[in-house]
Amino acid sequence: MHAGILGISFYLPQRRETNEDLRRENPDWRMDELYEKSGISARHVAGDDETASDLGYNAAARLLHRSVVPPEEIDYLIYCTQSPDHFLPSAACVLQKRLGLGTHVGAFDYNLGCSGFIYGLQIAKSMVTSGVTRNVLLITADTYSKFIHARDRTVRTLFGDGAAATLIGRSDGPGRIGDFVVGTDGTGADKMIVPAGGLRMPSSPETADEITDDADCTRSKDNLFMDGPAIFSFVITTVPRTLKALLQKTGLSSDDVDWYVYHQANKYMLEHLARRSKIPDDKMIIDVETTGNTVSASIPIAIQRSVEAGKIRVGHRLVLVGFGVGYSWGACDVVWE
Amino acid sequence: MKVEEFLNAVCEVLLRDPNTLSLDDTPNTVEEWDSVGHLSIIATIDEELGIPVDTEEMQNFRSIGELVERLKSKNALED
Repeated sequence: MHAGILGISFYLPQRRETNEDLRRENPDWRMDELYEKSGISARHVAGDDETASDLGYNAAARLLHRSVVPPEEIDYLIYCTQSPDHFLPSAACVLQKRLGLGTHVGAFDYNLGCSGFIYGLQIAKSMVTSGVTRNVLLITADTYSKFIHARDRTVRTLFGDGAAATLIGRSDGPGRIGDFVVGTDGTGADKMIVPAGGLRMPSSPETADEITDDADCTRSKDNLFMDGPAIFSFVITTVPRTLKALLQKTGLSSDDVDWYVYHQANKYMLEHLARRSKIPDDKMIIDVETTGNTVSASIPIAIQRSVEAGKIRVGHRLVLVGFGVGYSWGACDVVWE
Repeated sequence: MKVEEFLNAVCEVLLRDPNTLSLDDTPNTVEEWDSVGHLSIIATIDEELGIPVDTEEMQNFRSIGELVERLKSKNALED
């Protein structure tokens, strides 16, 4: 039995921040130069009362509306976020009710960032092909904006909020989710982190103390911190190796691959990764311009937009690679249904 | 690779004219050496010299001279 991706829908919050908005607010930010490198001109930002699970709900509601499979045949709901509504309960349980899914549904959350979609696909594929479930609804959603300090250029210009819902189930057509290569290196845990707000370091007046660094970026321990050089170095070292390992495992040659859909970190990083692995420009999907880096939603959003643009078509072989916070990474090959 | 060639590769990614970087240069003396410029230099090490950049010393350097010394000690650069 083969498992395939049966459908993807996504949702971006209505509020948008353009580079022009950021420049008006921060006249010292060189937005043109940043745009040149990042390729990002706007990003969506969740409303004050809007959480990641709200975005995830909207994405999933759109997918259910398409009636790809009868809702009662969805047996599992898996929700990936790093911006949880609560410590408990799991947002997956809340989403089961909100989406009107049956109580026979198994539901749980997991916490991963930019590699999250790959891990979700791996879990879902295993569940479907082992006969444990018929269809899995995978929701990947994040609102890093809630953690980002308004004066931290290194992250505010890059990240955008968004959510994707992906349906994984038995494929009787050409579609299939193939092999996986995953990896973890916890030595990078402090390179991308929101230090406070959990139980290790509860939020307090001290954790809210703001510090401005050498690069004139301000943040507190309650905010997202990213060590750009460390993350960049990790990615450009690990991702080409991961691709190589996946191609070896699958026996595929790079000519067999129609599209490379990497985590949409930013244009500069994706172009560098393409050059490093000799991926032709016209096979590397780069779709960050209007969304920014949407964390675990970025790969499914990029796939769906490429499908809608007529690039990815039935029978095309995709290689997906996710990488980031943890450090955590994963890659897989997918034939599009 | 010769130090001069490497410096010119760095000039190129920082969008500067050739031969406009010296060993004394730091982010304070080179306008283009901002956080994105720093990543471009790391990318150049990766691409031009092919040595692993996932180490602290290849990520955190505060002057061109410091970086060149580290690369020389790895036999990645020669005078």
